[in-house]
Amino acid sequence: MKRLRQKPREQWRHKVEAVGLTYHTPDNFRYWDESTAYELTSKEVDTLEAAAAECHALCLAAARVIIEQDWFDRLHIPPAARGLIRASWERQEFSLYGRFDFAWDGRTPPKLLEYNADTPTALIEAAVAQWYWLEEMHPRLDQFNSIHERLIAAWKKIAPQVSGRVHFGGLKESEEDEQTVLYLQDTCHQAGLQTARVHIEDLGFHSMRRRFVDLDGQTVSHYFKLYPWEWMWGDEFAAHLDLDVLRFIEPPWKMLLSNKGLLALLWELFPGHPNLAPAFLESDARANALHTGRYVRKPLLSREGANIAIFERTQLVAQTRGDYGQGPHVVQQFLPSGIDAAMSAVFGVWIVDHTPCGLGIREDEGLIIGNTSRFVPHFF
Amino acid sequence: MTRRSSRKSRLVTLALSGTLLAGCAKREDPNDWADSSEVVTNNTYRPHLGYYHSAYGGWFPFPYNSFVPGRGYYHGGSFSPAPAPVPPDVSRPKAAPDPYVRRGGFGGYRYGGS
Repeated sequence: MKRLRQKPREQWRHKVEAVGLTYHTPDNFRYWDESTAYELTSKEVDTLEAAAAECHALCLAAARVIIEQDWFDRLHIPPAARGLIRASWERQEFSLYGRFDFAWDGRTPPKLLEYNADTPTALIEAAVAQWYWLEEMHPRLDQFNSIHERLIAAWKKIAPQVSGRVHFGGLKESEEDEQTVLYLQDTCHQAGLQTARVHIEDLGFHSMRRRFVDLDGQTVSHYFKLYPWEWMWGDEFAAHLDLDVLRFIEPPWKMLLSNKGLLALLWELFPGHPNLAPAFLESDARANALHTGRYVRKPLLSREGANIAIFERTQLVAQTRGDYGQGPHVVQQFLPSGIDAAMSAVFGVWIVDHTPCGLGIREDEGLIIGNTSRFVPHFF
Repeated sequence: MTRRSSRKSRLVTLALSGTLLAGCAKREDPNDWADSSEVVTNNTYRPHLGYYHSAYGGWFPFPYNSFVPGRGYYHGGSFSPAPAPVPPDVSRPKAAPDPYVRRGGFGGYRYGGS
């Protein structure tokens, strides 16, 4: 694996905007960065693909254990959510996508940092923008990226279960979320399904029909939501979720996998696995074993690298701010990542319909990859 | 030795590319819309509602067919490369909301994806 300097394309801003990546330079910070690219070998891509497939299998096995052993308390899953999680798991409800983030040096096995299983973003960058970059810059080379066609294939798979339209929505006023939802709606549309938009704040509940409805009063039967499950359970309409009248994408069982407490349960179930690092719930006395070296403290529920802290024994080395600092945490052995000592990199492998199918690389001069860390394209 | 097949998508096209560029198309809560018996002309502006698009019977944040460089012509909540057809001069805002429908029960939290 090599980290290479690249000459950005003429009018690159216009080019990435034209394919939906309108948030390339938020607050004058260059988020999309095509002045750098990673060159991997085919064997290295195989390594990442295999690690993601393996971790996905481990996560599904862990989800089964959590449900069968009633370990919901360990992940602080609210009691009201458990019935729907069980039901959606038993029905094997459709899961569209997720993203594993790995620490990796290109030599030793990739190690799982977290599984963005419920509301992953950085999707247009990985699926579309870097594909067009490759087609223009290195058309004869390859890229670990069949995300777009896998998404379309996944929608085709669920099509027989959908009698009406698939509605799509996230929160208002977030440009990245809006574009991500629109892109996924686009892939669904290309799969031949009927689609519609309704922001999650605009979802209505019809008290006579006992159904969720869109702004036109039409029943919403399948809803792609870019909005975390744990927040839905804290909202007023959570009381209606038990009616089980609306199929959500992602399904309720993904709530088990998007919880960072999963890292501790995975290590407990599969100790010493080459794609895992030692991790413990902070309340677990075994967590003290990590306090002799460098370790990372993460909230069970956080996003975009928020409220992450790195310690060297008891000394704080680095931390990020955010709104997720309250509540339980997990601690994990620190995992240096990347091939340049001055540049951290995280390797995000996309899963679509249970299959690894793409890679997005983020990098940062700091130790923590967060919301503003740059996205850089790759090829092999 | 067989050459392994490509890992990249064969073709990435965006069928809804016009809407992909739309950004945050905000539509007001229909509970706040004007009285359904009222007839409103295209591009009427009302505070807190925005501009009325008579072709859609709804209120939007930008004037009908307003042009934004890099995005295109705005109408009905999204941008498109070409201007939309000339709208009817007047129309009625969509019907009053169903009294049995409550909205706003999700979305109490703000966040970003992960």
